[in-house]
Amino acid sequence: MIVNTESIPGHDIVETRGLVSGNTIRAKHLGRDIGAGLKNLVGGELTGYTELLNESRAEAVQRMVSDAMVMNANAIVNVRFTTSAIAGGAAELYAYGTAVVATPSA
Amino acid sequence: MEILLAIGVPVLLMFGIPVVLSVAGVLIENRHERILAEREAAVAGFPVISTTAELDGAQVELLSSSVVMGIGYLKNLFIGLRSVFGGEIASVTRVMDRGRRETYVRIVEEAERRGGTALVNVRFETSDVGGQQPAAEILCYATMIRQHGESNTLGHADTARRPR
Repeated sequence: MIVNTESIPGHDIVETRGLVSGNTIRAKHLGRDIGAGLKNLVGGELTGYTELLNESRAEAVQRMVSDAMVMNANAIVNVRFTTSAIAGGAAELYAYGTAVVATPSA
Repeated sequence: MEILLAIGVPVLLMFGIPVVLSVAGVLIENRHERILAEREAAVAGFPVISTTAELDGAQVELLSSSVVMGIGYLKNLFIGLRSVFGGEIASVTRVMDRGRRETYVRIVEEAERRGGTALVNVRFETSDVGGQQPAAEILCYATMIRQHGESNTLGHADTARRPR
């Protein structure tokens, strides 16, 4: 279970395992950059970049989840995402949260 | 005649291309806003709040949606000009607003597809990701609640407002 709330509805957090995070830095190939450059002549959604960031974010979340599994947690609460531009054309996606052990409330 | 052509063609290109591009940009923008309004109307009843709600017997899932909006070279140029005097750059405000509405509509549509009954703790984030491009990513993420049985009640009358 991954949520960005502090608690999980219908569950009690019985144990806190600690901070978990995952990140990834990706760049799109030149072809996409040229495509985005052309699209930007008029502005609007740059679909190639949207896809790239969505894939990357899924990857960062996956890494965060593996981190939590190592800690024997079964849920991650209070998840936050950040994105930042690193040098020319690459972006870093970062996801972090608190790994916890949650049980269904009685 | 040759001199006229030598001056005329570059001048025509210099002014003609930006004019064509900005007209195209405005048409695309208007169309996008029209489509957005329809999609927003379709998801208007869905409860969305930016605070946490305590609900019993619910399943939860983290959802996110993002969109990279290109500002466009012309508007980007305009930012530079506007910065001389300062003030709001309304054309860029409009681009970012479109992007934010798009992510919002997408996340609600996704929640409906997955059988969710509400979205809680909605967060928006914006960042510059274009590299050489004048572009920004708008991210929206939230916890989706799926309640069994009776219909959802978050106890909020003022829900399902699009971000402004």
